[in-house]
Amino acid sequence: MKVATLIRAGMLALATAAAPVAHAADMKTIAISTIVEVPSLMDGKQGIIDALADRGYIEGETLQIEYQNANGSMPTQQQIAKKFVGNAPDVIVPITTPTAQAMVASTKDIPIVFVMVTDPLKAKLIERYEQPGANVTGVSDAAPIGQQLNLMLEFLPDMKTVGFVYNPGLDNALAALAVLKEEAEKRNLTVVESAAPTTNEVILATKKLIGKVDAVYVPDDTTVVAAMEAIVKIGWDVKMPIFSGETSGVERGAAASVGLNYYAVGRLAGDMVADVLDGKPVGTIDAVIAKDLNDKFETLINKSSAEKMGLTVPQSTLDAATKIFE
Amino acid sequence: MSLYEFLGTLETGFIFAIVALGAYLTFKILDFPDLTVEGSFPLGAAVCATLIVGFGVNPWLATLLAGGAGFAAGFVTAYLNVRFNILHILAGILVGIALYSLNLRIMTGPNKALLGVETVYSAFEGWGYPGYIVNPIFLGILVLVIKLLIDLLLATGLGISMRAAGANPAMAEANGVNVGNMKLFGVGLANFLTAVAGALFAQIFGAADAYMGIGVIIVGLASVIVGMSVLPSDTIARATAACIIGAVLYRLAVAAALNADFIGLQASDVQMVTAVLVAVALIVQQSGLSFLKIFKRRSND
Repeated sequence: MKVATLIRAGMLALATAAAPVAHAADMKTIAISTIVEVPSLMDGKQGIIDALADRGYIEGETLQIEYQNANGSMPTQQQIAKKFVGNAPDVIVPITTPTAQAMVASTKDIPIVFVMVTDPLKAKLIERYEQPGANVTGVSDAAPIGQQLNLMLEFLPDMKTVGFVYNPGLDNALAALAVLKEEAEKRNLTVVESAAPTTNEVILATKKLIGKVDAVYVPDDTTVVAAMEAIVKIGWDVKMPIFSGETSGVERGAAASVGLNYYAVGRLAGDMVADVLDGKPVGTIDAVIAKDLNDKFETLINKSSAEKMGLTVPQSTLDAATKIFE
Repeated sequence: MSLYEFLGTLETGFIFAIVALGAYLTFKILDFPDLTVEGSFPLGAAVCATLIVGFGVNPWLATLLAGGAGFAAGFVTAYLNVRFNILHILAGILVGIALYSLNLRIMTGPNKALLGVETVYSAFEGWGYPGYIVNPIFLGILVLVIKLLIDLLLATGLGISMRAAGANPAMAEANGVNVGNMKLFGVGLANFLTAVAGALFAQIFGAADAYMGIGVIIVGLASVIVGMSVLPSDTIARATAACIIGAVLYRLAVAAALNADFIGLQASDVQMVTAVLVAVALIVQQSGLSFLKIFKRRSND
């Protein structure tokens, strides 16, 4: 009995000691974390910070930002989640799916605004997009694959088959495939899959598509994107048009891409964070899919590379492009 | 560091203490450097998450079955080594690579959310204390129980045969110990523990993820080595205790790195800071030991 009482007393003491620390009233605090630092994620982070600044939450003046990068380690990510919850910031902003899951598992009280999560429903971060309820909302960065197909059809109006090179081990690649199939069906297109579990297998996977497809779509898939130059080379050699789901792929030789502007996606999340800091309950803020908000795109064209793949760039497409590589 | 963060550090530390105990069995007892764990840790997470979410299996049973899957993985690694003479490191790498694909199959994708479902930690929710207090206590007790069971096992005839098989295979063989069988069982058991740790981690992390295993082997070995340098381990009981201490110290090093921003370090420096802290701990400990020796020698004079 006595031991039990002691333990109970000890636990209560711990519970009291760990109660969230109050912050100075004039300075708001947010805590941002990501599992890894890659350019698109860092663009998103900058977007968040800039959007907050536009709303009067300026870093170092009216806003204190804690930032942590888990360096690819989930256990470290877990420790970061605990650190954040212990510091009790006004809002936690996780970038990427596993980061968001660790944060959501760690607190039911502190508002969370996630960003760069492809499918927040599947990740169980929220139960619905509209008025998600609990302490979580955020922005999905699902790729604008329908728009991507439209862009490809501008180049190739007679296109019937689309090749898809991807790593079946990546969530976003699988999600992209599902959407691609759906969107392709609407446009009477057939998708031909070619799996490349590692970067070394990308060349083979691309060559398997030669003669079978009218064009190849390379998703935002780190494994496949790593071999973008090799894919482009094949496209040049056999006049097979290569399109990229990731905008940075265009500079590396893909014919064209329409993609999310991650900075703009970050700004969406930053506005949500500002809403929470203004006092709006986080559960009343609708979660959004960035691609459904139509001003978040950028269209990039690599003119010389497209010509080497046997394409002529339609003038209308050129006119609509946000960036053209000669 | 807030208390919340400290308890979270213990929580993760205790989970990785289970990995460290597995690494101790393979690395120290069997002299079998086992890289399977990079795959069996996420395997445990994947099996557990899929059973709980997909099949509604009781989380405790799911965790145990995850351990069973881990045992099978370790068994295959040891079998490749024992039966086909494939170098132990290579056998572990091969099984680890295969497990990556297998985990994707099991989860039908690279990530399986475990948020909002019943987990082993749910059992303590009714006690009225928040999870951040109860979970580390539960995990601490669990690690202690596992440690004691390993201590007991290594004192049995089977355990002594295992130790002999690792220490001197030729002599063990001459004394009638089937070294191959010891490896099959020992590496299997180590991966059982790793997979259980993976399952426990996934349930606290809120998801199983295909990339969860990255660096697990390094953390496991570092925990064993750091622990043994801090606690001289001339007996099995002290060695297993050292594994637990080492795992917690490693997590504390990471926590210290996460809190190192005041000296101008960036978030991306965490890995380097962790490595430096572990190295410093080892160096200080070694010099400390030699001080102790000098002191002893003087007092003997």
